[in-house]
Amino acid sequence: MTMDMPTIPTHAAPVPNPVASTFVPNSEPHPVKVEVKDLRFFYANGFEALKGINLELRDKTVTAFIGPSGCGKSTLLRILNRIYDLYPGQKVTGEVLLDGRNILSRSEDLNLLRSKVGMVFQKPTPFPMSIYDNIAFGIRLYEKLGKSEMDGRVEAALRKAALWTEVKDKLHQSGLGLSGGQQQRLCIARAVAVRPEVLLLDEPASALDPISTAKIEELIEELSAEFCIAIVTHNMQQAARASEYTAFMYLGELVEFGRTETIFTAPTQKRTHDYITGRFG
Amino acid sequence: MPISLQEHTVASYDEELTSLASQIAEMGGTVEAAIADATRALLKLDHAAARAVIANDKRVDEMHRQIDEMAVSMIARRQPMAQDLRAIITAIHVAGDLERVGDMAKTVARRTLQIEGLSLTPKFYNGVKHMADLILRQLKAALDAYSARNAQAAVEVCNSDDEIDALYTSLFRELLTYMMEDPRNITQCTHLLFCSKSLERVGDHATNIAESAFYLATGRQLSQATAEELHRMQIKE
Repeated sequence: MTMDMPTIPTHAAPVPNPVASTFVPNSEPHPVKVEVKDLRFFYANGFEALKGINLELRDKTVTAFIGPSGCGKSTLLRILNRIYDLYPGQKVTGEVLLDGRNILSRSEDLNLLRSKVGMVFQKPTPFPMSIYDNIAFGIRLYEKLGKSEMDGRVEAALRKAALWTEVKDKLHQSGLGLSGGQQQRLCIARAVAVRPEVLLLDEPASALDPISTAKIEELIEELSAEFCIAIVTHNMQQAARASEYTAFMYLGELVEFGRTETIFTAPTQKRTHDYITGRFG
Repeated sequence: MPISLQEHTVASYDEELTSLASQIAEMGGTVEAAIADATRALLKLDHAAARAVIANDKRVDEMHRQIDEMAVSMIARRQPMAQDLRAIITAIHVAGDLERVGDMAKTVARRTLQIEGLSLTPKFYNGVKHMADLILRQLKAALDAYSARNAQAAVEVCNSDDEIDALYTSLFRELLTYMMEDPRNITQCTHLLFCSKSLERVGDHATNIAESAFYLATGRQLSQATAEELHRMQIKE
């Protein structure tokens, strides 16, 4: 007997998923701004705090550094603008290239370097002077500006730090009178006022309440359109929220470095995994 | 890809993850039994057993709801990362698939209740029985791969879904032939055809579970490329 068979749909026929293959989170990565090569750091007592770090920070990108206390992440940040120079006996080997120039070289101008690489610390550190002068102080170190020009720069920096609307009527009051979150944004405004290229943030939100923290994170995202940003944080969720690349450090070594979504969903190293899932540290 | 067996610093987090996994295992066992019972009730036209399957489906829905709630609460309170995040997300997916499998068992049981004054002939239902056996094996293999976080076993489950599809196609042809031979066969063959369609869907859910198992184990989606890659690897071994 012959019969005409209806076409039978094959339900589980493999359909290639066009989304999975073409979806790229951030089209083209930005060019490398800072390149760290075989960086080693020794404290005055000979302790080796960084054991040969190699990594790249991309321009207009946020890179987060995570790891348990004492892993060397803050030390690494402090080398990027040579704050370690302030302490005698500390020694560094290797190279840190900012746009291809080794900033560790003795011939580099430290003041110029620090104008290019701004830093914000864990505790807000406003100078004991007015809000206006907190910003203008840094600018005066590098540039001679007339009053109206200076006013413009101060306003631009405060706007960039999302602080302008809150302080525009009290620019000549003391910076110390602001709330913790506002003080921290003032410090960020001070750092961006001198038009740096790299912004280093060492636990910028750890002393702040959740709303101020959210404002700082929002600010980081906005600033990343302009600067190369490196942020040290103990808050894993903050690293996951705020950064595009994440570096996990442990006992002076860079254990894993990669795109943030990969580090937090499927890290390749067991130590990274155990740390971010709360199995140690 | 590391799968860490080390415990969390916060012990209650481990307890919650273990509880979530055992709830999935329990739900899996329940729906496996539901499919087996529903098929048996169909072949014997056992209305009491079919009603029991329908009543039990409420329990499956309740398990699904509990797993969802627990997963949502864990995401909110623990902020899971990496392996733990994957365990929780896949638990939500797998529970959803299992709930649908439970619905398929209920569909077969409901149809059993509609068949009255008929006795099914073994010649007609042997194919359905064979298909149900194969599907239960698939479902069990998928759930085992999930609980053992075994990527390779998961790939094997996905690869053997073609077998079920082929079986369904041949069953379709076979039942159609009986219907054309004698129009009096049409009623029972149509019932069997609908039931085998439900069973075939269970196979698709087993594949979904296996895909979740692969993602849980590796952190990568089981795209076609990686499946072929792994399949080639298995042939080489």
